[in-house]
Amino acid sequence: MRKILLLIAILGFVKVNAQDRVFNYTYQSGVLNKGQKEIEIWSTLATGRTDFYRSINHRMEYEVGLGGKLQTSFYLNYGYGKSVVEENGIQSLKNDTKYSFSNEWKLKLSDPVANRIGSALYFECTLAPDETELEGKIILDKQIGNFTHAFNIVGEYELGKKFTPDGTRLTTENERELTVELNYGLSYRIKNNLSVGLEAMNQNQIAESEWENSVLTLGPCISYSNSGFWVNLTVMPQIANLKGGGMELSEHERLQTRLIFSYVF
Amino acid sequence: MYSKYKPAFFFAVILLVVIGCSQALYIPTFTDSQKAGISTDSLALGRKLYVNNCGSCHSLYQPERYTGSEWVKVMPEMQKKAKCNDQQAAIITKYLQARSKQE
Repeated sequence: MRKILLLIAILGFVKVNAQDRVFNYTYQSGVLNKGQKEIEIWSTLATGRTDFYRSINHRMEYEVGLGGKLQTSFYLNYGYGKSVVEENGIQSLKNDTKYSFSNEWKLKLSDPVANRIGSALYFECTLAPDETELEGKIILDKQIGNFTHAFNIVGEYELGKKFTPDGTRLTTENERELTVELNYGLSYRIKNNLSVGLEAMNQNQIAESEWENSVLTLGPCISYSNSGFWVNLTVMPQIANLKGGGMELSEHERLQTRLIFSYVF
Repeated sequence: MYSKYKPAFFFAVILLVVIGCSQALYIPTFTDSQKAGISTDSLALGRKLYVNNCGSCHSLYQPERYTGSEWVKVMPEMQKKAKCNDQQAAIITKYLQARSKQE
C-alpha cells in the first residue's frame, strides 16, 4: 500500500508540474513540447495614477509547441480603463478601450536543470489600430533544489500615432518610445503544486532620446497547479522612481495585480 | 555613474551568484559507468535522451532527488508520454540510477 501511495505521489508530482511557469511578469526558458497546446487567460488590474485611474487589461493566449525547442503564441488583447484628464484647466472623465493582436515566438537555448543556466530568446509583435509594438527578451533561469530563479532583459519599441485637433482637421504625429526592462523572479516550491515567491521589475522609458523614468515595482507571487491547469497571481506595488525619486504616477500605476489562468491540453 | 546603473548592477550581481552556485545535470564518468554496469557512452546517451525526451514536457529533476527504485517505478508511465522505446527507457533509467538517492 505504501509503495502504491509513493508511486501515485511521484507520478502526480511529474504530471502536475508539466507546466512550470511560476511567475507572471518574469518569463522562464521552458517551451511546450511538439503538439502540446495551452490556453491562457490573463487579467491585469492597474490602479492609482495621478488623480483617478483604473484599467483592466485582458489577454487570451493560445500557445503551441512546434518542436525543435520552438514555441509560438497568438494573443487577443482587450483593455479598458477610466481616468481623469485635464485639458486647458478643465477636468473630464476619459474612457479608454483598446484592442490588439499579438504573435510571440520563443526559442529555448538551454535547460535550467540540465545546463548551468537555462536560456531562451523571445520575440513578440503587437498590432493595434494606432500602434505597433515590437518586443524582444533574453530569458535566463535556473532551478536549484526547490528554488527557481528567472531573469529577463527586455527591449520594447513602440511606434504610435497621435491625433491632435487642428481647427476642423486632425493632425497626426508619430510617437516613438523605447522601454528597457529588467525582471527578476525568485520562487520557492512549498509543495509539489504550490510555489510562492517575489517578482521585481525595473522599467526604464526612453522617449526622444531622453531617459524619462526608471520605475521599480516589487511584489509577492503565488502559483498553484493541478492536473490540466495552473493559476498564478502576482501583486506588484510601485516601490520608487529610481530616476528622480518619489513615485512615477503619470505613466505608471501605483499598483498592478495580474492573474493568469491556464488550461493545458 | 554607479547610482545611474544601480538596478542593472543589482540584477547582474544576483545573476552571477545564481550562476556561480548552480549545478548542471551530471556528465557521466568512468565511476558512474562502473556503478551502472554499462559504458560511459551509453550513460551519455541516457543523459541526452533524458534531456530531449523528458525535458520537453516538464522540468527535469536531478537524479539524486529520488532513489533508484523510485525512478524504476515512475519510468513506465513517463515512457508512454515521452514515446520512448523500451531500450531508450532502460538507458534513461540507468543514467538516473547511477547518481540516485541512497535507498
